[in-house]
Amino acid sequence: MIEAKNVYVSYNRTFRRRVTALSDFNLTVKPGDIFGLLGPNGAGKSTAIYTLLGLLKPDYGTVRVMGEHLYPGSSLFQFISYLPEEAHYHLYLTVEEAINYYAELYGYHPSSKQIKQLLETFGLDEFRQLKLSHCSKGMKQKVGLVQIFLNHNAKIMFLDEPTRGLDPLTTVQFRDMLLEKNKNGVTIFLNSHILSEVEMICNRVAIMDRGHVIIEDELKSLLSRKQNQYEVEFEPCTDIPGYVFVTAKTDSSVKGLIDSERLYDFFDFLKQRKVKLYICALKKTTLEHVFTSIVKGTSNEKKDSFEHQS
Amino acid sequence: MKRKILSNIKADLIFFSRNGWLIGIVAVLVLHALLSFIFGGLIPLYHANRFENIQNIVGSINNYGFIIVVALGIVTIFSHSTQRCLKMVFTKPCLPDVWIFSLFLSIAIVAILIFFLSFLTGSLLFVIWKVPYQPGLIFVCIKECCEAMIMSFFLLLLSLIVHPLIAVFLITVLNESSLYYICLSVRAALESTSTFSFWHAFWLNISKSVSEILYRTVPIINPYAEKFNEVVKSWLVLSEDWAHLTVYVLYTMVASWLMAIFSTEALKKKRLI
Repeated sequence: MIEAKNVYVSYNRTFRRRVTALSDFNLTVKPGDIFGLLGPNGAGKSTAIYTLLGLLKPDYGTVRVMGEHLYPGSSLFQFISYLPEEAHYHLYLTVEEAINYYAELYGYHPSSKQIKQLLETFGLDEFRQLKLSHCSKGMKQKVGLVQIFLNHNAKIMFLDEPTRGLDPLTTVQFRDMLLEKNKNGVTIFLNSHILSEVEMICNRVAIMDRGHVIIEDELKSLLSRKQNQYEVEFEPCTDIPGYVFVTAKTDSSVKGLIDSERLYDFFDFLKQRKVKLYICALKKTTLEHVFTSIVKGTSNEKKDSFEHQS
Repeated sequence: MKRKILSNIKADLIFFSRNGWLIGIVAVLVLHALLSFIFGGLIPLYHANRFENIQNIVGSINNYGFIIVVALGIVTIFSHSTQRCLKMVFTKPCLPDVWIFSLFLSIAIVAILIFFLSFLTGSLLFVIWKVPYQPGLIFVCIKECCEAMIMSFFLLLLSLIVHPLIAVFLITVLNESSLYYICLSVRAALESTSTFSFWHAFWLNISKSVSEILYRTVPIINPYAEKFNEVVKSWLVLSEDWAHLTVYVLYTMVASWLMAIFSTEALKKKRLI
């Protein structure tokens, strides 16, 4: 559905040196995926979306969306919905005019009833005559969401930080609508900083840093990679073994983390000392842990290799 | 395609009516017109020749119209580049060609409306003041409309290539009259003496070639200048003047079409993110 192979993108900053935004960027998104692209600030996530959408031309490499190369205004865009990171909309239009304009560019001529219904869904109905330049950040974001759901032919949705500035209720509603769309076969390409959100809806993720993808995998397998620790809670005792990483200590209990390979050693220790074990559970790894360890690991590796070279 | 062009034209016309810069320009021009009318126009209006009054009023409206029409293209490009909203257009099935064509059409519509208004005002004054109608009125309005459109489209094209502010400075050099005088000056310098050093002569020859190429490349804003100036002064139109005007209108259409093509290419090369 979406494929990027060995993509390099660089551009000139005014009066500054050339900046490489993407280097050896590789990505594959299969039909029906809810794909999350993660990365720290400046990793090149938005540049990646612009390149996939054909708004930026790569210096090298190939980009294919639905088997074709996208370019500005391509007819393929009738199957694509795009939500930009910033509210780069036609600010001189009112909410209703903007929705109508974007719908007409897709080739639709929605009735005022249909527009009213969509605006009501996102709580924008009473602001339909308000100019976008006078709308709040959240309202502009909602206008962006309305225009992506206007495209009934959409087979792919590119969403750059979709829940930015949204209230919690609208976030939940949007998430449900997104999952509903995905059930109907729409592929979703999501770029987000909110890892819990990605964890909730994505089935595949890629983590990128400094312009290239470090890891790309199914979310489940990515989370299971780091499931090698157990959370334990036991009766306080002396001489706690060094392999127990104590996280909390009170008069009544000690909480800690143990690597799975040392778990039986720990049981032996408890048996010998006749110490009571209260809780022992596999530690649930969150995407945040995975993301932090991978990104930190990569930056440390780069730092080490730089120090080694120098 | 037709629907998309209409949607873009609608959005452009809304933009023209709401943009702060354009509203500001119109407000300044209206204020200028009012002040000119109150302090400089009232007395001659009652005493001078009525025909001359009509010429002055239509001339003023045309001048104001020219400034407004020229501003439309550059302000649109400047505003859309600053707001970075073009990516919302081009991530939909709407080609840059369609957007540029719609913008050119929108500017043409406004230009035609403004100069038609000028024509209507003149015609009304002919009737009110019972002055014999002069066909020069329609001639002048058409000529000024073409001039304004060519200038606006050329500035629009330049503002897609360089920053709009630089485009405004460039247009002061890259226009037919400036380039004509530059060509004449360089030619005169070359012919004045033959005792140049090699490098002096080399640079003068380069300057001559460049200025002549540019002179032939830039769109002509005021063709048949001498003949047209006569008509503008007297509002008497001979049949050959109509023929020249027809050629100028055709030239405007061809030049606009070419500038639309170049603008599209410039837009495609522009960073849209």
